[in-house]
Amino acid sequence: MVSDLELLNSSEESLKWFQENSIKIREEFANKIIAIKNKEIVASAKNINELLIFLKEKNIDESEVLIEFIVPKNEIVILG
Amino acid sequence: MKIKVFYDKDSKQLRVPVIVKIPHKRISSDFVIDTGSPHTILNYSNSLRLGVPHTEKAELIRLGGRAYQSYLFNRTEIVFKSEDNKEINEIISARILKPSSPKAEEIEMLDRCPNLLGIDFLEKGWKFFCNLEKDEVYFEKID
Repeated sequence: MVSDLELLNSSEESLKWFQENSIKIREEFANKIIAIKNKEIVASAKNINELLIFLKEKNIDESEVLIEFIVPKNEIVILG
Repeated sequence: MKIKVFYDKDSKQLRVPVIVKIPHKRISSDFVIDTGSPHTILNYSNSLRLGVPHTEKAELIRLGGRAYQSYLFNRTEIVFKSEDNKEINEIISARILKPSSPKAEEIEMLDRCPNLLGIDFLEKGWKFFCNLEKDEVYFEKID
């Protein structure tokens, strides 16, 4: 099992990669939930339950992926 | 001791990568900085990943024109990375929003809500510095 610090570094790299590629990702995965690991989208689904099933089927440890909901490019999120 | 915050120019959100831990379980995730939120919110998806019990009722929280029952989880440990590559741990009483019905629309709405790092985090002795022009955004512990 990776250490907390290794997991944090991986999480930071995934977040940076997601931010750098978000325009392309928003076009391709609009309204989906995606899982990112090692700068790669390893699974996508319509909702969290479906995504967790896909990750389990692929033998990917769901605790080590960054999960993001993808807002379509013509939408913005304003938190209430 | 500083924690770097990342500015997402596309979504115009400030995000910080973290590990969220409860006893016997941890997940990789990130929080959106929301100084408009009085409380730190752990989103529904992450509460499912962690297996957090939804038992202790807290406030009703309004989001997107709807009111959601929130549930309190007192032992949420959030692990941040400092700029000098060390772990920083904070224990927070996180609120979790739970759908009031199994309607797909409501679950979808909560799936879309990110984790929010609220004012209660700053109350733990952190100051928040934000200069977007110079890409200098961080939390720093008050001595």
